[in-house]
Amino acid sequence: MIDKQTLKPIIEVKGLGTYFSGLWVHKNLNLTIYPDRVITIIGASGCGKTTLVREILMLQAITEGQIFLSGEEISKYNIEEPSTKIVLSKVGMMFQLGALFSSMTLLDNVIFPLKEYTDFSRGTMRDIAILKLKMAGLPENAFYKYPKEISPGMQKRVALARTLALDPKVVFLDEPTAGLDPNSASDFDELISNLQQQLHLTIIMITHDLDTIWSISDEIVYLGDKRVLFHDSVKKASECRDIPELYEYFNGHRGSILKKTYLKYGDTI
Amino acid sequence: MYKESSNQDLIKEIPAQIVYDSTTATLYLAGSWFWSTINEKKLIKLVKVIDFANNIIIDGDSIEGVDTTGIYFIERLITWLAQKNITISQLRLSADEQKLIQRIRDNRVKEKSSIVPLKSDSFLAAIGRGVFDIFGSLVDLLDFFGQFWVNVFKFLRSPFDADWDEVVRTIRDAGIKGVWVASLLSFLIGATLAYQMAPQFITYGANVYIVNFLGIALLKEVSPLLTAVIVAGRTGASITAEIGTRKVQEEIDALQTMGISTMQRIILPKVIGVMVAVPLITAIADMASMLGGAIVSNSALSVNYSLFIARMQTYVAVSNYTVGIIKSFAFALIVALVGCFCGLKVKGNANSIGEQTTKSVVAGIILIVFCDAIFAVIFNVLGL
Repeated sequence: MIDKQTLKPIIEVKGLGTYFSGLWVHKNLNLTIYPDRVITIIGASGCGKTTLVREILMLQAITEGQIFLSGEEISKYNIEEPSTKIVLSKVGMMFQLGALFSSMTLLDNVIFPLKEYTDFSRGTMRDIAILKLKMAGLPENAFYKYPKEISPGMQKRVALARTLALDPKVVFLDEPTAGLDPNSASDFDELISNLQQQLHLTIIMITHDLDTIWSISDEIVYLGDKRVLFHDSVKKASECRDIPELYEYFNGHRGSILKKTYLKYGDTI
Repeated sequence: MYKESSNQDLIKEIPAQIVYDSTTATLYLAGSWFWSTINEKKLIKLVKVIDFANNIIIDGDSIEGVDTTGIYFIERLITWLAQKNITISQLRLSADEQKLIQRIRDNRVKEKSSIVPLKSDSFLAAIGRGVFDIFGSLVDLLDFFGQFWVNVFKFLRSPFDADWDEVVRTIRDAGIKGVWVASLLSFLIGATLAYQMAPQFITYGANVYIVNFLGIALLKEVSPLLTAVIVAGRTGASITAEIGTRKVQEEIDALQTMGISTMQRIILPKVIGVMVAVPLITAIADMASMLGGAIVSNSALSVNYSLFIARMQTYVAVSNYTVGIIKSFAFALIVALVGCFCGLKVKGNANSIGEQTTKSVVAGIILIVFCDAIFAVIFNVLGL
């Protein structure tokens, strides 16, 4: 692991509390994320993973505490205010179902954020969008298709290309491999880790796919009991006996098979 | 790639700069090469006026940070220089930047022709396609109409199997909620019509004939038509949007896999509901419009209420009213069927629902007016 002393955190969450209709979703949640790695947030359903991500993305207001993005306190901004747009362009989010604009071609989907934020010429925006689509592994003959006309795996690739259109430093992925067949899922894992290494992205994902976790994750953040219970490498997470649920997550019937394989062969798979 | 600046200063970044030193023939790239800091027009203008030597050095040592957009521009600059036959003897960029440039080159489109958008039709082709589309829609509509009647007979064989809850819901939505708008507008139209015609009747001293006029115009023509148009706008549109949304969410397909007929389950209840609601609304709208007419007759034409009612009983035939109600059944059928047909035509995206809803309302109103004209001829021949 990289020496944390020399790096500045890209995301810092301090004493976060979220209160929803008579219920604390988070209470005194602290989380520090350093750049240039893949972090996976796991936890039982309803433990507030998506809420946490939505709060960092300023899609949802927090009740108490602070959130910093690159040292800037974003939690003090008004969510409704348009000036927060510029901050938001530094983070990207890929939604679970892709959330592609169904009335635009794939190319226009990727051009869209460029058109909103930049004043490049049309040709330039098109070139950049084509580049992003190709980097995401989309075949050229599909550029002028509509989202409905392509497979879910392809839709995810386009969604990733659109997310990367403005070169965000932090990319959030919500269930990137859910609903994909094993081949597409492992291709997509490879694509994510490839892009992460080349563009030095910080990737934060929510996933239940143990294959994805073992193959591309650098760190695990385990949410439970309204706060972060565990934050370390995947290997340590799989050996942590202090938190029974987390241990079960990696050493249950499904988990143990994968754990053995990945620990045995390491990075060679 | 993101050098020191990456963790600091989200907003404050130095714009991308290009400086050419002609004494050493070196092109210096400086500043941050991010999408947010690159001014494309300014850079192009700057590069175009530089008088390059034949052999230059590109020095990117003082670049503060780049993203893929920045790399795209640097690559474009290098390609542009190559096209101008300017050789680059030295390219001082970091290893990461060089790798990214290579990646951009790897991902360059080889055959431009492969990503040309689908050609839009020429004028003649568009006309041809339009005609074929209309023809296709008519065939579809006929098909739909046929299926509908087959299902009507199935329904008549076992009427208790139908989804009566849905019928009641449709009657509530189309009828009870729609009756207020329809009666208010009919009342106003009745009053306005009487008011506009008043001077004509007064001129000839034929004040009492206003009753004959209103009786025929409102009961036979205006109220049924107005009500049908309002229902087409309210209920027709909502039927299309509802069925369209269900289509997009694959609910229709789900029903079919369960072996349940869409016609029986979704369309028939709506048609029955609308056909019950519209004649009822029309009857109420008839009353509202006559009330509006009577009030104006009383105040502007001094035809008092008892005289109005007496004249109506003697001179306005019941057939005027029945013709209006019969027409309203036909209008209801048109609105419901067109609404359902357009709803089923929705194809999987959000635009399509809006498109089909518009079509449903427009086609509904057009067909209602056509149908009204045909009825006028038929009833005339029948002497009603």
